[in-house]
Amino acid sequence: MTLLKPRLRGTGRMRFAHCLALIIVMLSAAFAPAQAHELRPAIATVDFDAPGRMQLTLSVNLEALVAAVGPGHGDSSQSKNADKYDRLRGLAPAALRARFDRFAPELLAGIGIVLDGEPASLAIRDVTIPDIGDTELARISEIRFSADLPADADMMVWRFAPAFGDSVIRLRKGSTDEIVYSDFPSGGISDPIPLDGVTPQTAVAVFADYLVIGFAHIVPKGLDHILFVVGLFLLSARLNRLLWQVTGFTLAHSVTLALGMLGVVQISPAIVEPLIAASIVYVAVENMLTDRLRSWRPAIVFCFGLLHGLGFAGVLTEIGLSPGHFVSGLVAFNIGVELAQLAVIAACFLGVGLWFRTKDWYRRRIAIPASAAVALVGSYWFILRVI
Amino acid sequence: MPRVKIRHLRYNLLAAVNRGLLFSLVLVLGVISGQAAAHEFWIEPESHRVAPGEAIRADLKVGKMLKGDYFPYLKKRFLSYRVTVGARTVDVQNYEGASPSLDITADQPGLRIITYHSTADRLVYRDWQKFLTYAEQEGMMWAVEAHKARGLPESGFSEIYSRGAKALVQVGKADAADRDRAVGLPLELIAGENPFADKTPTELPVQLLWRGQPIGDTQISIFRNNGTITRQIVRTDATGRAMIPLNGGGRFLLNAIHLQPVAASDAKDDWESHWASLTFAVTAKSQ
Repeated sequence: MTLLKPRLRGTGRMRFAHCLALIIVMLSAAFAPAQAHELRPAIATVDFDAPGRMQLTLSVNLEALVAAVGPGHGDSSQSKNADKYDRLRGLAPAALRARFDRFAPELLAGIGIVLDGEPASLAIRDVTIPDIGDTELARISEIRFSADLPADADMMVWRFAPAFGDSVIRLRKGSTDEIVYSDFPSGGISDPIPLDGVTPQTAVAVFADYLVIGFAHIVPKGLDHILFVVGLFLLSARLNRLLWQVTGFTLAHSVTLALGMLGVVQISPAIVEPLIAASIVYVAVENMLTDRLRSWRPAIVFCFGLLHGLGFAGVLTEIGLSPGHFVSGLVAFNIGVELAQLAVIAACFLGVGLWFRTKDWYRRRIAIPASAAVALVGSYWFILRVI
Repeated sequence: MPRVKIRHLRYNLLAAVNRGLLFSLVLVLGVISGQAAAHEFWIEPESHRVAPGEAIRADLKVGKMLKGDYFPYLKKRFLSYRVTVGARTVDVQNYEGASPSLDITADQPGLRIITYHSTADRLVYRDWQKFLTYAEQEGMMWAVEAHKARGLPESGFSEIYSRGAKALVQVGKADAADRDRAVGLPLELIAGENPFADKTPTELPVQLLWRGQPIGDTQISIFRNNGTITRQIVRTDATGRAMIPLNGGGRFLLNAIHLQPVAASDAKDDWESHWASLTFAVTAKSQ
């Protein structure tokens, strides 16, 4: 270690005693446990992880809180309770926990979450206190609380007694790490915080949401999927032939949608999208060549179903499925897709099949020209998606 | 008469030797114990060298001997918090209470000059010795004399202080354009060369500016962590310059303080200080 001795000014008048005093100060500084920890604000994070419940995590200098170091001090040594703070800082976790338990009622009286004007009843769930570690550094402990969350709560206010110091209030969106609100309020009380979109939805609401998303992905958004289903319908308006194809298609796309969402199968849209277009062309062309349900047709439709499922997975990945509602969201999306396909078939049947399917010119005048049109559009999309 | 003179001389000599020894001892103790009177404030990047496309993350730290408590991002606690690269300067954005305080993506290569200018805080001295230790450790003993000359009390006086911190982070390979520069902190340390340059210098020239003008005769504390944490001190010359020895590499924190009396008699505070820190890292030279 190199010491570059400073050129000290004004030392000529320094007395020997003065220097001695300095040494004593230095020695006592070297061996006394006195610490000065700059006080950082407590960080309160509210999680809405389950319907009807909320969790509050307070990340805080517990010693400063229990010792009542108080606000307005840059660091702990500035407080009249600095000695108490230092003693607490030297305590092992269990001993500090015991001190905290005695202090807990005071803490619960000084903090609060107010929902639509009603104070929520906070209960301390657990306290995590790190080991003593390096006493030159502040120790940050975590106190976790829980409280009931009324389903219709839409405004929240955070209260942190000014005597405890400053605090940051943050809201995390249900079952994610995403911080959707954060503020560093002055004067111990936050602005009213709107909870819209932050609190978790009920399982029924999530199911309904994804059902609608699934349906809308086919009707009206998924013209290619609509044309494919129309292609299946045009082969023959007889119910049993339709049933075989639709069942195969549904089974297949359910499998790849789930596998795609789980990340097991991932194929680039650059490959999937042109193939979906090609599948439309295929069914339409086959419709023009035959009106019989060939043995390979359900197998081929099944394979195309696998492709369409990957396409659905691409869309659903973009929308996102929260981990807390993965299965119900997936099932709801699938059912939505199914309902939309059935709606397309129902529309075809009501619009055309019901009236003309028994006519001898049905195939010549309707099925073949319509299939040709579908094949043309499919080819156009194929070219568009390849280049 | 001659005898008296000789005795005086011997006394002075002895006193001088004593003083020298004592001051060395004081300094050594200060170094060993790490009990600096005041706390440094610095920006501590996770890494000082980052590849383009990677994240630059940094904590704000307060502590002694390069060991400190981290502080989250709090808008109310700073006047400015910026990243400068070349001619472009952007404000650091984050959410309240975020830590690490700085979390950005290094999109383009180039030297990042990260600066933070805190709001002012007040320190009330209840203990005269605390001020003495502070003045001694920071090489500002003149302030002790000045304090007495101003007739100020030995306890219950106050100092208002604000912090200016700077950290250098090199994104990609350093080129000639990657230079530290003055970005407008009240007291500012400026690296005269890029510490991340290919040819690692054995010492780094720095300059200290006070309100944009070079300031001489001011102590710079050099904290270095290369496995062990050490402290050295140098003083700026008349042009505000000093040389920082870099041999052995490691993470460096330079700290300087400009302390001045608050002149107005109706002022709430007796002293006003501005702190400047500069952090960077140097790879140890492979021999």
